Amino acid sequence: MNAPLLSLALKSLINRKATAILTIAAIALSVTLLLGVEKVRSGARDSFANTVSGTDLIVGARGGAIQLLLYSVFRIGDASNNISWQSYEELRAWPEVAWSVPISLGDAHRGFRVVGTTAGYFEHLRYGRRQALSFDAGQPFADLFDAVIGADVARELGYVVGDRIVLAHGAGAFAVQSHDDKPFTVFGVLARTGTPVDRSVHVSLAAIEAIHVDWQSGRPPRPGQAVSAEAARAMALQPKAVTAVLVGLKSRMAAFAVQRRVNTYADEALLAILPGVTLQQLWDAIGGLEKALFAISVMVVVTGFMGMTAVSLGALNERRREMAILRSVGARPREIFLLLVVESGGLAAVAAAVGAAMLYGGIWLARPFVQSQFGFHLPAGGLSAYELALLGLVVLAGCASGALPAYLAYRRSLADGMAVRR
Amino acid sequence: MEPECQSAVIQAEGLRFRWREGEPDVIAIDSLEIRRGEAVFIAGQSGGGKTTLLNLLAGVLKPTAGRLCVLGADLAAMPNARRDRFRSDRIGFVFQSFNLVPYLSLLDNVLLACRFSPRRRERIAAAGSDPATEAARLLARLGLDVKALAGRDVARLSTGQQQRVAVARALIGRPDLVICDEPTSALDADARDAFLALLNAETAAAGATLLFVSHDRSLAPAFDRTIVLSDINRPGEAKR
Ligand SMILES: Nc1ncnc2c1ncn2[C@@H]1O[C@H](COP(=O)(O)OP(=O)(O)OP(=O)(O)O)[C@@H](O)[C@H]1O
Ligand SMILES: [Mg+2]
Repeated sequence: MNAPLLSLALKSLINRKATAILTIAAIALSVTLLLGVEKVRSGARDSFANTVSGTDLIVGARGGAIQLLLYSVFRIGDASNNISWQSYEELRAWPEVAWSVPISLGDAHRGFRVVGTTAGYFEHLRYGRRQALSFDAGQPFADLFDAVIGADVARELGYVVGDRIVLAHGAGAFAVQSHDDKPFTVFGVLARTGTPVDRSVHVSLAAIEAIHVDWQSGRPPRPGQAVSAEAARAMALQPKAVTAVLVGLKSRMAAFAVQRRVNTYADEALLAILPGVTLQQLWDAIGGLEKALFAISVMVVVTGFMGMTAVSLGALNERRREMAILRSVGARPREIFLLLVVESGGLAAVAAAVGAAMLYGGIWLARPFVQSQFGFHLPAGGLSAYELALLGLVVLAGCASGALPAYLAYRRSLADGMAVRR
Repeated sequence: MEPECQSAVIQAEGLRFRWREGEPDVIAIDSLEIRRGEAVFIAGQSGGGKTTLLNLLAGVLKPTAGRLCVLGADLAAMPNARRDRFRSDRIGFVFQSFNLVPYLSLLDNVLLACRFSPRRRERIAAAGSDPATEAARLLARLGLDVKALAGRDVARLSTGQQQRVAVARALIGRPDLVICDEPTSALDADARDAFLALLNAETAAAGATLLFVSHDRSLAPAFDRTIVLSDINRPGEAKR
């Protein structure tokens, strides 16, 4: 019954090209924003959940649980305290502990964090669905001054196995004190994981000791007291402390018991976290922001539709004559109503499609950037059911915002008949 | 028991219409009858209720009271949706001016009448034609060069051309009744006379009854019969 209406609506929209295109552009942009926020949200969540798996406990100095997770797993921020080597030695010998990997943070290489660790790191660390790390080239460090770099480090700095690199003291791109007297050799390049491992430079714990061997209380050596790389090799490079310890248990059932034991450890103030639980807390903390972003993008969509309603109300007076003509050839008031609703719904549908297309185009373009800047992989995929539902809602909202002008036109054509004066 | 609707084209008894409850009647016609095939001129001054009456006859407005038969159908008793269908099938309408939908082409404006009326399409098919051909034929008979004007924005047509397109739309598919609401008031004298002659000839050729209202009594000689609205319509005072 409504084929004539559809064709009328289409021709009427084409006739008002400029307004139609502007309206579509405004709504399409808002749809892109809406879907984009949703994409980033789900991408960030997946990425988050994938960052650490297979580690039962993370132990650090007492402090915030989220802070510990942030620096040990995400390499964000710094530890306020370390764990003494002695405590670590005791902890690793507990009968429930299957493996333990200490990490020592605090240095950087051109903006990438340096992680001092043991060879166990490459063996035990898991990400995503319990995938182990693998090497694109080379192998775990063997010599004191060997380094294993993550995939992003290799790609962004163009490093290959055999390159020499210099570490710097302090994290971040602005680390000032350079350890240029003790250069490292790239010995291995890890395959991409989509986690912060990609952005880390790994060296042995002994190497961390070696580059600081001549430092005193966190300050570079005074002239004349520097120790050369060769001399450092001959020294006892026993670490005195580590920043955190990743722990795997023989049985996950023991996790709570071990956690309690760490938290009540008498000799040192320690904190153990269950990574899954703390990840969830972190996500909940970020969740507020995420919801706010989503709410803002919904507002933007609503604003777009209010603009559309305003335009359509404004055009209504101008279109009284057209409505009268349609009535005279037999259009029912209901069909006048439908015509306007179909116009708005059609605009919204086109805008939704354009918005989705812009988003996917944008993702395609932005993916390398986001991956390198924020360390997470933007999922391209198709439209998820949820996103399709969002788009459906956008089209419905379009019809709804057409309903007000449509209702006015409907009322008017009932009340005035064809008696339109100018 | 009310009498059945007769075969007359229009038959009204005790017809009353007021726009809103409590306002005076705008239309109060005790009796009106128009026979098939007539070309009737209804004269009335501005604000006298001409447009309102035509809206009633076309089934756009519903009488407040009284009986109104149009083409044998009791419009007062007909549900809204059926009145709309009835109008699109049986009645052609020409307005005073601005008769064309600005975003439709010349041809589409004429075909608009067929879009809403299966009956008009059937009648064209029964005559062995199709809507587009029939529209072009009518436009040509009304003196419009379809080929030359086809690509033109309809708003750019002259007023006289627009009115002729409107007549083609009213006539396509051979409706039984053509109603014109002052279609010549925007035309100059020469164009007006030519338009009236064409309108009369084409409605006669289509076998339709013509109902034409205007405040301009000088048009009366072009029609079979003249009704002065103020003679039959006695709008009343507001009722409590
Ligand atoms: N939609 C409406 N709502 C309320 N009153 C109306 C409406 N349309 C017309 N009227 C009133 O009905 C009366 C008759 O108006 P109508 O338009 O039928 O006159 P007309 O004879 O066609 O005048 P004109 O020659 O100026 O077109 C007028 O008093 C007018 O104010
Ligand atoms: Mg009038």
